[in-house]
Amino acid sequence: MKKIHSILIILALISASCNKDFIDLKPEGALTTGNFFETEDQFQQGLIGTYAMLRVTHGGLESWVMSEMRSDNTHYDFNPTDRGPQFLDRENIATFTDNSSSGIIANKYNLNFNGIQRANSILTRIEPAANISQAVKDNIIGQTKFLRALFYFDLVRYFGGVPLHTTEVSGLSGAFLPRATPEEVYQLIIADAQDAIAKLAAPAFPQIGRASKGSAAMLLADVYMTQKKYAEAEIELKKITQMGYDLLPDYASVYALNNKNSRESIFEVQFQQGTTGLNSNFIYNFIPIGQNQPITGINYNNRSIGGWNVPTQPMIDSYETGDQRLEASIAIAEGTGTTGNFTIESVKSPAGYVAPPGKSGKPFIKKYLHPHTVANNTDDNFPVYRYADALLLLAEALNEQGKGSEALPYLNEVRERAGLLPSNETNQDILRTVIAHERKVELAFENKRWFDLLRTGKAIEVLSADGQYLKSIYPYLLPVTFDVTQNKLIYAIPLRETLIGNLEQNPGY
Amino acid sequence: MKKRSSSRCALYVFLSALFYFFFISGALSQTITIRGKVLGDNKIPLSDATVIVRETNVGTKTVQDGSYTISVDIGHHLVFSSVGYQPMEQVVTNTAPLNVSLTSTAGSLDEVVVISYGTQKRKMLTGAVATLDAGLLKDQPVGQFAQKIQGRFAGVQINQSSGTPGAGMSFRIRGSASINAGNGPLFVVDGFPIVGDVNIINPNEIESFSVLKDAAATALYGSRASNGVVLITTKKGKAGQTQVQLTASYGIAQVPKKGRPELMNAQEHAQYMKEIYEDRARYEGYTGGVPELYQNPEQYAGKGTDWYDILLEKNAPIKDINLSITSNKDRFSSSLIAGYFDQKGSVLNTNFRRFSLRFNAEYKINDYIRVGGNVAPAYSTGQNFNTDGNGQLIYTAITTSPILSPYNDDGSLKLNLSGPGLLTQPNWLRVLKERTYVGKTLRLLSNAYAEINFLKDFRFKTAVATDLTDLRTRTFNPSTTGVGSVFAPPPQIATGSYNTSFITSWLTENTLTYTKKIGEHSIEALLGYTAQKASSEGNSASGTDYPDDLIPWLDAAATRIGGANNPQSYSLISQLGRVMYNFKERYLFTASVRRDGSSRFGADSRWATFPEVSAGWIISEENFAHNIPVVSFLKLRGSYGSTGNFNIGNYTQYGNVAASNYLFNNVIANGRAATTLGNAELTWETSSMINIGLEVGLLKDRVFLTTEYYNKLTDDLLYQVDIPAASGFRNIQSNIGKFKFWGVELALSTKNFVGAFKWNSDFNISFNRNKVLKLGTNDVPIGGIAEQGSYWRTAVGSPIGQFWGYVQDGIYMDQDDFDKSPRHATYSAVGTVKFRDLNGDGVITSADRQEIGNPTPKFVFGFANNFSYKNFDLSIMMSGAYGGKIINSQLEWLETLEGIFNVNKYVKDRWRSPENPGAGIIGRSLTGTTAFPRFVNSRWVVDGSYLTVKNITLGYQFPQQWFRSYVSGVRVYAGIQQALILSNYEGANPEVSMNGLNALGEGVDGAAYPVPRTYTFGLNVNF
Repeated sequence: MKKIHSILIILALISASCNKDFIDLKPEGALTTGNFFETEDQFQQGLIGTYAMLRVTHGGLESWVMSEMRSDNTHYDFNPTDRGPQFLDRENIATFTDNSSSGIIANKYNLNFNGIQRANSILTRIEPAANISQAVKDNIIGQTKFLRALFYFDLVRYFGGVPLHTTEVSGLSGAFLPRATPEEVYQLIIADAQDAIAKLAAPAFPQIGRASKGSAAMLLADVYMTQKKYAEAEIELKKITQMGYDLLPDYASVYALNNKNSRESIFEVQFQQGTTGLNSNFIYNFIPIGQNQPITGINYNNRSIGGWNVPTQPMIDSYETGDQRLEASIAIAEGTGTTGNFTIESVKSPAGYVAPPGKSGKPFIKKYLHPHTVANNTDDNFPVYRYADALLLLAEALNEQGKGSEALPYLNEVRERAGLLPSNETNQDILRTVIAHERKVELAFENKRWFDLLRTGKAIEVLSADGQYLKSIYPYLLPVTFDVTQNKLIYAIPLRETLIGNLEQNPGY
Repeated sequence: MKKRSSSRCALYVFLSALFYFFFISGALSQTITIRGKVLGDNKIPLSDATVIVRETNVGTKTVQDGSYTISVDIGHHLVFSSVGYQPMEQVVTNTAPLNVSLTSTAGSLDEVVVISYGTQKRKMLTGAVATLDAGLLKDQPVGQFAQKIQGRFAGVQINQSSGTPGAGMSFRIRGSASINAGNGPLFVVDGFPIVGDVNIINPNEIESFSVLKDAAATALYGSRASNGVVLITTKKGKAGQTQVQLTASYGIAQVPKKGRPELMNAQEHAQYMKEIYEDRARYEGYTGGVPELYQNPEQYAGKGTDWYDILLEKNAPIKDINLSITSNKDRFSSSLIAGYFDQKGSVLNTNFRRFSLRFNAEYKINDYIRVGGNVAPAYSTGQNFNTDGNGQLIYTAITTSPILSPYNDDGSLKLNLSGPGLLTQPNWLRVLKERTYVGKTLRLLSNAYAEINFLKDFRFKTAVATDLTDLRTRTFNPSTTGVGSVFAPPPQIATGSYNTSFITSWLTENTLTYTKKIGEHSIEALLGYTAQKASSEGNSASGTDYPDDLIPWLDAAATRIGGANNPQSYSLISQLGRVMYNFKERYLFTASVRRDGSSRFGADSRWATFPEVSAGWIISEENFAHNIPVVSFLKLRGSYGSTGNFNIGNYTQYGNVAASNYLFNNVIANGRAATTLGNAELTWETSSMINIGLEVGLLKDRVFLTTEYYNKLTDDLLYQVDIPAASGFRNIQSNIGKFKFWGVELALSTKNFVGAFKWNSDFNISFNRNKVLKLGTNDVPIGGIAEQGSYWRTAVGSPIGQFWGYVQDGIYMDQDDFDKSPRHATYSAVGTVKFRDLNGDGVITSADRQEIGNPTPKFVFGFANNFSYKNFDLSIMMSGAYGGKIINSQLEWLETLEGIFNVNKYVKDRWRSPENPGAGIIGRSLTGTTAFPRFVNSRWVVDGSYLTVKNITLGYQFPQQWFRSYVSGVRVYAGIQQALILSNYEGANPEVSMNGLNALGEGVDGAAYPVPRTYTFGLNVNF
């Protein structure tokens, strides 16, 4: 029996000595949240990770579908050969037949909150962190708060009040929050933007793509404008005019690859072609479906991704004669066949374009079309705020306060760069229309138009008319489309969120 | 540090084993040679009967006249056994001849079956265990053992959801289900829980299967046992014999005509396209006229391309050659099995080949110590494309217009196939012929063990096992094919990839067994300790910008991307114990417990204990039962116990921080971000199960019935609990959810004829039910949100994985019908599909969806019949299911009304005008409305009940005298695999399911690789 005892003892010993270490395995290929955010380096990495969300929140498909395609600037090239759900989703948003099950709308919501969570992790953990100087902390906090405000500003304008997370969620318990009111969300945005202005330095040229005091001031001004606080907006915008920003001489060159983060850039989303996965590809969504070589110079068929965000004919017609921005922004792909089987033959100017017999022309957004080496892998950044935007907002802020003549120099700075005569209009109502139109063409396809229509209260009127026009020329648009109502000015809270989080749905959805 | 400590553990265990190995020695005793005869019924000499010394396991076999000779120690016991007879044990007292007469048993109650961590006589089992001798399966021309055992076990559903060579099989025991943790059983090969794919094992290496179903049978596998356990035992040398066997078979596989989609022919498709354009002109102001290609449909009469047929290899050969050498003499037993299996797929340019070898050896050093080991390398290679599933190769290729030919006029292959309005398709013939999609797997299973008997009643066994897998996949998509997608038709820039992964697993297992019989009390106690660690790592690379199609390797790619290693490990450490006790072999009692610790769970909840108790009562042994006529055996047994499920990903208890990069100044800036939420309290999913079994033998067990009832409650379901996306995350791996399972199983074995003409039948049937009791924090259903391409919903109060969608009520036949009926806000028009307004709010919205079918069968069954007469034998294996529903997801494309695909024949009877409304099933082609009929709806749900004759084999054993002495037996046979399918389902394979038997997503036919019918001829020669 002794032997049995010794066996048992050995077994017991093995069990005791091995257990703990043997089953305590941590990922070898990745870090875990438990030991992250301790050093300055790690906070910097976390900040970069927060910036990285911009690539999808402000440079992704959702933004141009939900703002530009929803607006009267663009429509889509109806492709009868593909009725897959991902395509219907985009079409429904463009024609105001969207509902709470839309994947695109859910993405918009989710991705912004991903960014907010990343920002909250930094903001929750940086204050108590030891061994980091206050100056460094302030700089990180300033950038982080700018980003968080930008994400929330996107959410509140698309969805109204949303759950207001201001600290890191680390488990099941903190994950469930009810919707806050829009006012509460705006309070946080304004506080964050103000803190960012206080903590960040003025822009240093050449810029590298980080948020500066100017970016934060622009965001704050945009928020004030949305709230119709014109005087407050004016103050911020005027500060921006003192920070060294300037318009580039040539409109087309604003988007050129060698002018990334130029003097005209207040904030933009960074992309780079290549194999690092940091490339953009939105131009491939914008050009017509077909063999792309005549447009891009690269042998590729964008069949499953192209034909979206297509400038409408009224959009093309809205450019004043001689406006250099038309040819810089839009081009026509001429070819034969119908959508889905279209053969692109050449690229033409949109000015006065008439298709020759047997051919047709498909307009597309050109301003982001630049040389690249691999198909569907481009180098173009996407603008968030440009100096021209600031100038036109300032003009609008002044005009709304009855200071039309003060507004004109800012408006005309933009017009003159486009090769147009200055405006001397001082009638407030007419000038309001002039500025709105100027914003439409100057900021075309930069995802501004939808918010401009909302801010100026013109959305229902303009978009109903746009719908009437489109329905008159496109038989595929059913009678129910373009029912533009007050309810449709914000989107549905994604179905999943109303189910899981018990969130109240927006009216009309 | 951690690595070192884990290998130190292994070392400890091994050293402790070695220590005992040499430390314990046995006493010697007197050895004699004894002779005798073994007789059966009516004093017939039994040849081939086994005679084994119980104490040493040394054995021999009787020859033709039933005689044997064996060396044995005085005082040791000889065990005589023969198939169909009750074994008998005799103690050796002197050298006098020892003749025995065995009593025949119609059943096999005294057969010793493999159970968890040991063996047991069948009649003493207290748990639900189903066993199968692989000898019954030997002649089926299939590459995977799972195909052979379909329908063989009560309570075990095995489906062949795809005919892909070397793949496509899925298992589900007792309807088991989990949400994220998988529902496949644990496979244990020769005591070693397998980590990777079990299907690479050559079926010819397998001696027997044991399927463990209830907690009593599985609890010793603790945390991995919730979904049942399949024990596989490989072939060992038979006592006293050396046997050499060569088996070879050749078969031809053909895809039956029945079950192929009935699509329009060229003339019909041209007519359909013509009408689409006519309707566009009529209703939508289209003025372009009918394209020339479709203007005269009559010109295509009798012509055109059958795109399904084009994809097929008409007569796909299948070869299987095995050589086995088994021997068990002079304390040394070994078996060597070499196999070569070569199958050409029924889809062009697909195949599967396997070279396998297994060497099992055991040496008895003395009466007390045995050592042994085995090594089993297998190499398989095959080419397969993404043939199966929505939007994949078969699903898409068959939608190509039959008007179009894959060939140019000069006989060369076209680059792509297009026509007015049609979606441009790749030339599918080229896609199959020119693409490369090769997988290579090298697998090495091996183990070594030592077993020491000491102090008479004790046995210590220590074993170390390893399982290594090296996987490689190489693809090349030339410019002429692209990746074979209709959304990216060629020409495309060529792309390629090369992915590898290397998986290792090692296990150490140490058990101490105490066996004692005191009077009529028998006791066996087991104590054990095991540790297992599995790791994987890999590399993935892809390439593009190939200058041309000449070099199908990454070497030629100008741009190469990749290099992620994704290292993963998990470990498990366990202690286990079991006591089996019986009194008079009549009252049976077993209790066992396993304690598991796993690296996959939170630091605070890593350990769990899985206990089990069970008891059995052999009523027929009672005096009062002896008088019951007819009943020869009667046993009642019951068990209760708990098991676990740990099949979630590694490290999910930790929040992951992953790379998330950005750019500043056009230079990459390395960032990081939390991408998942951790959960330090994450723990096992636990199932507790009650099982009650009744075994009845009638007419000397010629009729044997086993019935089981079980009831299982699975709690703490491992589940990625959805949380609001506003948290920044989508879900958190957690333990919230509860499922209930219950069911009844019957297995009936009968010996219908036992004379010169023999007929045995085995029938089994299982009824499995389940219900969802709790899901996550808010009982939010899983699925049921997307309306298109998403077929299932799992909700509290319903069975798991119900089909979910709209209910179709025909179409809006005319304006009046349209005005009276509820409509969808976007898609409805006169002549379009009409769905039912289920919530009665007057409009059709996504809220008007309900459960539209249950893909889980009401019962599944298997029926095996074996006949023999003189030298002929015939076996017929059938299996089936009743009551499960199928959704044919191909209909989404095969009924499209956009005029972009070829469609089902009956689409011609669609609505075209109030005067010409068609059959009232298919709506009109009005632009803007055609998306709606593509939403999941009740019309796609059809009955999937079936009865399949899986295999018929007719064999003939040549008379012995025809051959020279060195050939001891020759058998030839011919068979048909997948001989006949009886089903109302119109598709080819009613077992189809694009997710296999995953409970949450069963029963959708997404155009799977066809399962062919195989005609085979084979030869077995024994030397």
